Amino acid sequence: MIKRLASLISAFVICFVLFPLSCFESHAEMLTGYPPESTIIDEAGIYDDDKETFDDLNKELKDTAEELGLNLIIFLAGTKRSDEATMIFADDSYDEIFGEDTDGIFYYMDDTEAFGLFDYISTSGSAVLKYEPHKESIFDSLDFYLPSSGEKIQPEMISNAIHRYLRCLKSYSSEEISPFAYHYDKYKNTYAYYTKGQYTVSDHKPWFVYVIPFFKSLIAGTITALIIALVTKKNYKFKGSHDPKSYIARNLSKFTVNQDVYIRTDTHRTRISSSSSGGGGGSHRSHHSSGHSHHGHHGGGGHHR
Amino acid sequence: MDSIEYKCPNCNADLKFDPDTQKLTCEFCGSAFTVEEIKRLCAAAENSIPPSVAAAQEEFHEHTNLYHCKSCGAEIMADDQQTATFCYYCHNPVILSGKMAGSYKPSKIIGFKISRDKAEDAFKGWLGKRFFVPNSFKSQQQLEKMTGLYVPFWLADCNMEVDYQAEGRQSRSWTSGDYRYTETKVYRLLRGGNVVMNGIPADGESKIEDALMEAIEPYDYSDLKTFSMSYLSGFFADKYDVDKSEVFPRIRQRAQEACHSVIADSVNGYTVSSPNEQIRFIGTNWHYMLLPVWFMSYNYKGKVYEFAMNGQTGKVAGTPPLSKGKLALFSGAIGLAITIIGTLIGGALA
Repeated sequence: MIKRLASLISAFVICFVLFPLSCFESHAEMLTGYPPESTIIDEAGIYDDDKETFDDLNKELKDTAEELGLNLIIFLAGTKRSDEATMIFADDSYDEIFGEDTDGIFYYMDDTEAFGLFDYISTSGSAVLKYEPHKESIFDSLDFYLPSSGEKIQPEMISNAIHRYLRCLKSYSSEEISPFAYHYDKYKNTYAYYTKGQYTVSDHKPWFVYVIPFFKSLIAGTITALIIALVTKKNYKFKGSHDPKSYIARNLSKFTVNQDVYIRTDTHRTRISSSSSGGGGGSHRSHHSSGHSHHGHHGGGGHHR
Repeated sequence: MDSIEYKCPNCNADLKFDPDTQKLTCEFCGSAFTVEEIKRLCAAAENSIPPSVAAAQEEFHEHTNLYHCKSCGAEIMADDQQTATFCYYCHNPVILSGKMAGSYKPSKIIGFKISRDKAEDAFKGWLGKRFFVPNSFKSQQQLEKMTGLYVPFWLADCNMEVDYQAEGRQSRSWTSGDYRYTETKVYRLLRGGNVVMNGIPADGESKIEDALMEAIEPYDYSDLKTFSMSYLSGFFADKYDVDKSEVFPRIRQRAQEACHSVIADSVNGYTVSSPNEQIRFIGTNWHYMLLPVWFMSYNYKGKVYEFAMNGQTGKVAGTPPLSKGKLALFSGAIGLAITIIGTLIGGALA
C-alpha cells in the first residue's frame, strides 16, 4: 500500500516537472479581426446613441493618423482589466492589428466607471522614441478632461479628451528625436533606436549608450594615470636628511644665560554664543511606468486616474 | 715694498684691515681679529708641522699616482701598486698624469668597513620596488661600476657665541558660565652662551652632489685613523677640488641650523614672537681627511644619477633614474583599464 502511494506520488511529481509550463499560460486577451487601419474602438458603448459624434471623432483620428504617418487606435474600454492585463491587451492588440514594430500608438482609455481607473498608452515603432518622453505630459493634460474614478462618464468628456489627445500627438510630432535616444523594453529585453536614420530593434544596446560613460571613464582614467605618474615621479626624487644637531659637542656647549623673565599676564573673555539650525523636509514621489509586449518592441506607460 | 696677506683662520679667505674697528676682518665669515691675534695664530700654524708629519707628507706624494679623466676632469688618486682604468664618475678611461703634488695629503682617514658584496646587496635592496628604473641601471654591468672611493672631506670644529632674545607666550583657556576665558602669560626669553660643534663634514669634491654626501652622514669619528697609504690599497681616492674657504658657507649654514635647533629646543612650550638671534663664529678648526664611500653614477638621457653608500655605516642615498617610457606604459595601462571598465559598467547601467 505504501509502495503504491509512493509510486503514485513519484508519478505525480514527474508529470508535474515534465509538463510543459506553457500549458499553464492562459491565452492573452487581444483584439482580433480588425482591419489594419486607424480607428476608435468603442467597447464601452459611449457613443452608441451618438453615431454622428463618433464618426466625427473617428474622422479626426484618421486625419491625424494620416498627417503623422502613424497607426492610431483609441480604445474606449468598457471592461475592467487589471493594470498588467491592460498593458498586455494594448501591446498585443496593436501588434495583432498592425503588425510588430510598425509605427503607431494604441491608447487604452479606461471608461468603466469603476474605481482605480487605469489608462495606458502603448507605443510601437518610431512612436516609441517620439512619444515615450511625453507620456506623462499627455496623461496630465488629459486628466483635465477625463472623469475621475467613480465619476459618471459623459460622452462630451471623452470627446474633449480625444480632441486633446490628438492635439498632443500633433504638437509632440514636430519635436526632433535625439540621435542618442533609445528605448529599452524590459519584458522583451530589446532596445529600440535609430541607426543611420533607420528605426532599429535589437537585443544589443546602441553604441552611443557607451559614449558618455566612455568620456567620463576616460577623464577618470586620465586623472588616475596622471596621479600615478606624479606620485611615482615624486618618489623618484632625491630624499636626503640630516640632523643639524648631530655634531654638537654637548659637553662643551652650554647656555650661560638661560632666563625666562615674566613680563605680564593678559586675560581675555568672550561670550559664548549658541546657535542652532534645523534641516528641511523633503517630499517623496513614486512613479509608475512600464512597457510590456509579448510580440514587438513596445514603449508605453500607464496612468491612474 | 712687500705686502703681507693674512688668511682667515676660520675659512681661509683673505683678511682685510678695518680702520673703524682697527681689526682684520673676514668679509666671508664675519670673523674679526686684532693684528696681535692673527700674528700669533699664523705663527702657530707655521710652526705646527712636526718633522714626522712632514715625512709622511713626502711619502704620500712619492707613492700616490694621480689619474686624470679627460672627459669630466676628475682627478683620482691611487697608490702606486694599482692602476685606475676608468673614471668613477663618468666611466670614461683615465690616464696617469703624474705623482701627487701640493698639500693634498689628508691628516686622517676612516677605512672601509663595508665590503663590495654587502654594498652590492645594499644597492639591490635600495632598488627594491622601484620598478620604473631603466633595466640597464639594474644590470650586472652597471653594478660592476660601483667604486670604493675615498672622498675628500673638510671637517670643521666650530665654536660659536649665541645671543638670543624673544618674546614667549603661554596660553590657557577655560570656560566659566557664558564666557570663554583665555589667559596669556608673556615672558622675555633670554639665551646666551657657547655652542661647540665638532667635525661638521663638507666634501671637497665638486662633482658629487653635496646633498648626497650629507644624506649618508654621519660617520663615526671614533674610527678615525692617521692617514696611511695602506688604506688606499684596493680603493681609489678623490683629490679635492673645493678648498675649505669654498665649503665654509655650507659649514656656516649647518652650524647656524644647529644653533637654531638648540635654541628652539630651549624655548619649547612657548609661542615665540619677535626673535632676535645672533650667532658669532669665534673659532674654527679644520681637518682634511678621506672618508669611505661606495659610489656609483649613471648617465641616463644626458643626466647623471648618483648612488652613494657610507662605507663605514652602510647608510645609502641616491637618486634613482626614472624610465618615463615604463612609467607612461604602466600609468597608461591603468588609465586604459579604468576607461574600459568604466565604459562597460556605465554602459550596462545606462
